[in-house]
Amino acid sequence: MLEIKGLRTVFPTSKGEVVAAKDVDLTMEPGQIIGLVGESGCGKSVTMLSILRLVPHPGRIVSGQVLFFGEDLVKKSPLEMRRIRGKEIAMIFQDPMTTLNPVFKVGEQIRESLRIHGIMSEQAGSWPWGARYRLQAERDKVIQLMEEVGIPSPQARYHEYPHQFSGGMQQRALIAIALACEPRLLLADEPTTALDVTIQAQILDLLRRINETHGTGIILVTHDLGVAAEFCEEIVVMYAGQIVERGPTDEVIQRPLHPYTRGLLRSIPRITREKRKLEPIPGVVPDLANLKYNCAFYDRCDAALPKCEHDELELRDVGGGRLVRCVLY
Amino acid sequence: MTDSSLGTANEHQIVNPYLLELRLLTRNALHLWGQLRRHPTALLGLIVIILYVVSAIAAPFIAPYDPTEQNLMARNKPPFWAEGGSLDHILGTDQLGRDLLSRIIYGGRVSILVGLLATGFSVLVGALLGSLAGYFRGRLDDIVSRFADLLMAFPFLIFAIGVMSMLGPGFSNLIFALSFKGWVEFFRLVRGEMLVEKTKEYVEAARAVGRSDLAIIFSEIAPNIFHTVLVLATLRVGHMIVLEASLSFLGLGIPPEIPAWGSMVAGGRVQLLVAYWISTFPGLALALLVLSINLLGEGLRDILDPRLKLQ
Repeated sequence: MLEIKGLRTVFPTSKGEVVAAKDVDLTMEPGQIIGLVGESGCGKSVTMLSILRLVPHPGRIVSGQVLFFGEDLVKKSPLEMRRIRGKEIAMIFQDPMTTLNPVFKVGEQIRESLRIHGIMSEQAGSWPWGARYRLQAERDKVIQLMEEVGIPSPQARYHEYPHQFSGGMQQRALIAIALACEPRLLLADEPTTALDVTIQAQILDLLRRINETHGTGIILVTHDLGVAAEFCEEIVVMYAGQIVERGPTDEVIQRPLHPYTRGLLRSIPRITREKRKLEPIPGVVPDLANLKYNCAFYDRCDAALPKCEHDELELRDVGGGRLVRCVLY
Repeated sequence: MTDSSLGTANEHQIVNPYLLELRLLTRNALHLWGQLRRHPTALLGLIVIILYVVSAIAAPFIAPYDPTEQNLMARNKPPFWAEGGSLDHILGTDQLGRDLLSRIIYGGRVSILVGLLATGFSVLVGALLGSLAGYFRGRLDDIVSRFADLLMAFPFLIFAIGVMSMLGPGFSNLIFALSFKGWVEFFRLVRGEMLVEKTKEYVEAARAVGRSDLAIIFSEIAPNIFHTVLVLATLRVGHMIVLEASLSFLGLGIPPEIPAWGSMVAGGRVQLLVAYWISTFPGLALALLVLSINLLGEGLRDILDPRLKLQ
């Protein structure tokens, strides 16, 4: 369904060009759930925005392909891109509080997303005679969507404003907006980061249910390896703009290959294991405008070898559906 | 769809969408009115403004005399409470024997019309250019912003005097001169708000569902900055009225045959020591209207500015 090949997105800065997404390769089948994991600034969100061609100015995609059902989105015209956004590929954002427009009723905002792509217009007839029936049809659909994402008493909540919703309900409303056109791919950019843990679980359950009932493919961007382990079939770990490891979730969690993934796993607490110390990864994320070594993780790596400094690195297939970017394998 | 027993359920009957829009609009207006009612100074301002507007519209019916009718037998008559005054001319007469009250009532027409039209054009031009420049930036923003900076370098009155002395007095010239500089403030306000709003996530979300740039500007962002524009516009109406009066005072605004407060003040200033009322009452009428507009504007700011509301 989705195939990203050699995607490279750069941001020119005063210190030089920052490569925010560096030769990203990713393939995804319809209905799959992929987790994109990494710390802040590692290029997860930029990769997502690149898929939709929404990279904020002055960033731009310099090379690579984003094939969506065989069509290269990088080459699409702005108008064609607009027809794809929301309809074929929808996105939900990190902070639901600010993602809903504060001056419009929640129901109307969901209805608007139906209207943009003319979802209901065929059934209801055209302006002006069909207008009132269309409004009715659209409202029914909105209520149905709100029910589906688990907003209680949707009839009443249709007419409420975003500030009258709790964070979890706002995120549900945003998911309803994303679902309105039944997209085939849903990009969820840290959808649970701003929410309580209990609400997090509910939202993830909702996303999983949507995946099961509609067959919507989901890319979940998160910095929480625990969430990704729980939710995704496949995990993609990013570091400094590059994919460093990719593989089936269980494999990656049980048997992490890349030293960075190992470090990440050691730095999160687990309740099932015996007592052990949490080990942070030493050092800080390198300055992306000024990468000294070929391997961006070289100076923080506990398994670094002298040849790491200069050896050519590529994402290598190590069997079992696993890929890793490290000289050790 | 399941039936709901909630009060809003009837809104889901088949309704005319245009009627619905109208109903939403009235509901918002009523909501604003509900808050305004509890704001005493704003309410006072609003009431006075309404009185002014009504008297300006109904001028031919409520003015006791024709404002241009001269009566040289009754020149410089004082108001009725002063010695020599009578109830025939409640506020007295001017140096040509014209009834002062009638002239003030008619003069209100000029002031209100100029204030509304000049502000209206300013808002239209300024908000449009401001939204486009703030949202798209680029060449358009550079050009318009530099031009706005250039206009900002002139004091408003000096600028208006310059333009009016080139164009000559006249109603449409006056509107043009005032709007030609008036749009700058709205441009800067809207541009600034646009720069803030366009980085917010709801704009990105709108883009991600495939809305076009123009739709984002005019139907997503515009409603969010509408209230700041409304507040500034209200305050600017008062400013424009004062400017019109100043220009008319200098003989550069409204042609002298049309009664206007500024020219009335100017006309009476020679007789200020013998007939103070000729200049004083039009001046008071002006001051009261502008004060009321400012009170309303301040009140609207209190009500609409969410930052103030939190405190």
